[in-house]
Amino acid sequence: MPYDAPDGTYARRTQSGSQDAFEVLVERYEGMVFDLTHQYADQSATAEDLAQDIFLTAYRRIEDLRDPDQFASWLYGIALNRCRDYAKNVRRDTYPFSHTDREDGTVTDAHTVTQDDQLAADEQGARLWNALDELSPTYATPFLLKYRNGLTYKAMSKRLDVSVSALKVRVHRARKKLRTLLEPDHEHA
Amino acid sequence: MSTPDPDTIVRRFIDGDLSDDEVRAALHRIADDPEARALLQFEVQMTQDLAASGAPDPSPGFAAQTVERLREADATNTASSLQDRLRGWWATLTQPIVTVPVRPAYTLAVLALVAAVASVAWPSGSPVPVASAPERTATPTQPATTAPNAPSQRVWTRFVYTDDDADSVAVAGDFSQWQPVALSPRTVNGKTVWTGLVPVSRGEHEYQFVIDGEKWVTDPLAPVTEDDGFGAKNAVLKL
Repeated sequence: MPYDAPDGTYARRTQSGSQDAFEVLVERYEGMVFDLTHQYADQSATAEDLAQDIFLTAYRRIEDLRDPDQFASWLYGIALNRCRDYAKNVRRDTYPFSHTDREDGTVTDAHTVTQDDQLAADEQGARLWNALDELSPTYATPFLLKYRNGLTYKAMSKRLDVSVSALKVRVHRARKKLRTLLEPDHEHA
Repeated sequence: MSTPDPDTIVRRFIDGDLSDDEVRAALHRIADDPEARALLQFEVQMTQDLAASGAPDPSPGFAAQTVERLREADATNTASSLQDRLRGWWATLTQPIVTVPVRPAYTLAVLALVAAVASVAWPSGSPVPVASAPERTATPTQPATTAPNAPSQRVWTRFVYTDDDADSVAVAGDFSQWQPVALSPRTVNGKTVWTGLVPVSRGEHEYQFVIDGEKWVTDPLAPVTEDDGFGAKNAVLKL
């Protein structure tokens, strides 16, 4: 089986019990899931645990996936629900500022970006991710694959088994929806 | 041919679907249309925000470790279901077919008989068999016996190592022919704890942890160590 087969091929094999096929799907979507979990968890290690839980849940529920070609958006839905549950359980209320504690928060004083700028950028990023939560998986998945994972529409089309033109429309709709949600922020910026 | 609306022009511009000539024309249209300008401006801002707020890349072995956890869970489930079945068979075998009412006087007699048999079977000073093997408490960086496997005299031993910076941690010892056995990361009290169960035969063994596939370190909490012949120390494990 070629490594670049559509998601549906690997999802069907996973449904038949192949853990190797599932590993391919994990490799494909670990970036997308990590992006999501890092928006909810303060610590990198916690975010990684959360991501692993999401994939384990997906594997255990793989029989529930009626259309294996829809694996990516199905996984995104699981990830979003799991992250929301996590946020509910830890009762986080300092979300935008939690990022200042991250190990990779390198900004201090000597360089071009000040701590205030970094905080503002973190808040802006947090608002964007909150807005992304409002999108349905059908739109959020291709959007994240394009903007976060840097996939071309052609590569995305192969994976998702959706035409390039349809994906472009979905990403554009996601873009417009996000703008509608974030417009007030931009006006105040 | 009808002229595309500004929204479509912006989309095609962003997606790189326009020829050089079309790009020039599109830029004029976008400049003249406030809505198209705002959408393009949003695209630039959003791309920057996303780039600034992204997560670090997952560790290289993330997918393999995730599947390894699946396999561990499967193995545990298989063992559990086997135990359940054995328990079921045992319950069936030991279920009384006929219930005999016992008077208190008979109970004392039976207890005396059991005591007599026990004193013959296990005279004073001999070890008395117990239902399960002793279990060592798992502490960070110390191996812990978790479950015995009597027929082969192999003990599932949990190895634990705490390291927040490692990308991968494995344990290698004479029980694995010094081939590294990958440990899985877990977060405990905010620390990254690498852990895994390895079958080890009873007896004395030597081992080391392997960090990021290249750095061999002695278990810092091992009570006993031995020279490994290469200038380092092996931890000694006695089961």
